[in-house]
Amino acid sequence: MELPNKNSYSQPAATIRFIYGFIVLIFILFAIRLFYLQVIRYDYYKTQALNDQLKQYVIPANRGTIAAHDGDSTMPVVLNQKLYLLYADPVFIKKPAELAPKLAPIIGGDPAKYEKLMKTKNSRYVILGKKITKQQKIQIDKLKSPGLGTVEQNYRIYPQGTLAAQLLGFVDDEGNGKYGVEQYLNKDLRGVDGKLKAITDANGVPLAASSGNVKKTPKNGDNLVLTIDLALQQKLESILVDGIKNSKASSGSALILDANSGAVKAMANSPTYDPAKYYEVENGELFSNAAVAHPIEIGSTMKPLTTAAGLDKGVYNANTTYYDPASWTVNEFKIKNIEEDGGAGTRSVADILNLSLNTGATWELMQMGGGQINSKARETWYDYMTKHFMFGKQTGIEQGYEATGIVPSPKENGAGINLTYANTSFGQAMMATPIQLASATAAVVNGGKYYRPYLVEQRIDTNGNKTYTKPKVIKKDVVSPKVSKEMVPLLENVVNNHTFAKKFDQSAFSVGGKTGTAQIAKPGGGYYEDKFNGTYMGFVGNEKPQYVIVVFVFKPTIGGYAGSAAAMPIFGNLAHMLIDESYVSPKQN
Amino acid sequence: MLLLYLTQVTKTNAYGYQINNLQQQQSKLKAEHDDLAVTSARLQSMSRTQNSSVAKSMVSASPTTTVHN
Repeated sequence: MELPNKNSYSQPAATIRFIYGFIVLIFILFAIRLFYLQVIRYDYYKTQALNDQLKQYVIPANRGTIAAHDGDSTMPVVLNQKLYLLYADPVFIKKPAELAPKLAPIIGGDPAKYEKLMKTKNSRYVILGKKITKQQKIQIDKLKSPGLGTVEQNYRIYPQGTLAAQLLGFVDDEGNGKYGVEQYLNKDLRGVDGKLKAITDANGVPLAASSGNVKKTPKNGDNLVLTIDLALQQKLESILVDGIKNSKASSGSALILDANSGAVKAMANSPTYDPAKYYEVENGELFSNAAVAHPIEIGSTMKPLTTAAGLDKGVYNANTTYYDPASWTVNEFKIKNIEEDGGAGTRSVADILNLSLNTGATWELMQMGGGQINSKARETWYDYMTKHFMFGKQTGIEQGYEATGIVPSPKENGAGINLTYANTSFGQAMMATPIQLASATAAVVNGGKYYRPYLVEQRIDTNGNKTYTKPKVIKKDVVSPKVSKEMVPLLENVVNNHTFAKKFDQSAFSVGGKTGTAQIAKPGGGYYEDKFNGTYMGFVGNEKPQYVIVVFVFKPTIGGYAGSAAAMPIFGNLAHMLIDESYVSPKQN
Repeated sequence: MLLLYLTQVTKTNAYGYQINNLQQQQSKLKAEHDDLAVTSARLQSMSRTQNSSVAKSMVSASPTTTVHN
């Protein structure tokens, strides 16, 4: 028998060894590759995996709502609602002419407008409508039109319509409060968004078993309750609109302030706008709450304050009389009386207010300087204007864009500073807003306390905790209680000597006030001869003043003095409304 | 142990879906609540009340004289 050749055994063994070696090599390569991927590139692939699985969501905080008083209860004036934004991608809209007439009956508006929008070239996104309701969305979905889409959005809703629009402000598309309370308290109303960071499934649903999930609960914004009385607000707006119309004025502002707390009960401007459609407003000035943001030269409504300052300084008393020459020459310029009868003669402090004597207010300023307008008179009056009546600085009311107004410096400037100061004594050459004038008036008639005017009465946080705003006295001794008591009959006397459409029963109610007709400064210097603003400051109360009313009417064109022809009737109607609607109770004795 | 772990993880994740459903339901109810609050506020609004037939049939009760005791 022939034994096999040694070489015939070794050939298959070598093949097996080769294959074995090759397999081992493959495994080694796999091991190296796995080591590279799992150990060396661990961080990279972990990050990549987490990018797919780990999702981060923003949990939006609910913006706080705003309510106001309705008798003993409160009613919402600003709420939130989830509605839809309707958009179109013109590339996918094949037949805009057919779609537009179907869309218009659902969302309202002109089909031609929608057709034009859907034909927009070079755009993949055009907004067709905002604030689309759920019912409208269902109808739009039924159209089954490719290219139409809706996005859920949070909107501010104003159930009271345009009521108090300018003091509320609005919220823009980015969720930022603009103007009014919405702007001033944007941070508090907006709250703080929450966050969810979680491992999710393919549909984006967070997996509860993941230990790495992070959830930060949102902090909802504070809800606010305003000091505004809705019924009062509505009546004030109605009376103001009628007054502006009757006086053929360009615009006007009015407010009612609680004289003994600084709480604003009603505040409005005319014309106004619809905050729900702020994006349709073309004149940006309409957004502004002129009652706090539009200072003007207040005219003769300053005279009661000048009188009060002199009385408080003790340079004359309420019964003082003096000889009024009917004109004073200051810095070579004659100061005369433009309102009422200001002929030469013996005048009293009461006459200065009743006849609205510019020369009388100038005389009062002179008394502060020992008989002439000098640095002492200027410094004293400046001190009263800025540190007692708080002109020239913001009151701090919760409103965006509050103006400071202007009070000229009393320092000698070589440019007729005495004339400037004589002018300030009767409300020219200085500027103030209605809220500044109202707060100063309140201090003069309430016993001498200057309260910070405020609009927010309560803040309710997300846990329901309520924080009440306490009336804040900024200055206690604006004028002495004695002077304050003297100012009330002086101002009642003015009302008694002027003709209102309906008389006031001063035996039952205390009503006082003063008109102002202010010249309007020209942009290049000097004053217009034929344009005036009318102002009125006054109060209504019983044993003591309860409400202060301030009215500004801009550029009335009905003739007569703007203060008495345009602003005074509005004051009269507001004061009667407060009495007739029992906001003020009659005197007890 | 591994089986027990897998069972628990699956069970926990199932709760996650329940939580998600409940949150969606809560969100839906919140939206409905907001809708109703808006409707309610609109129905009670000052202008609507003033223009109601009841209000229009009312007469002014403004006092013309004041009685003193």
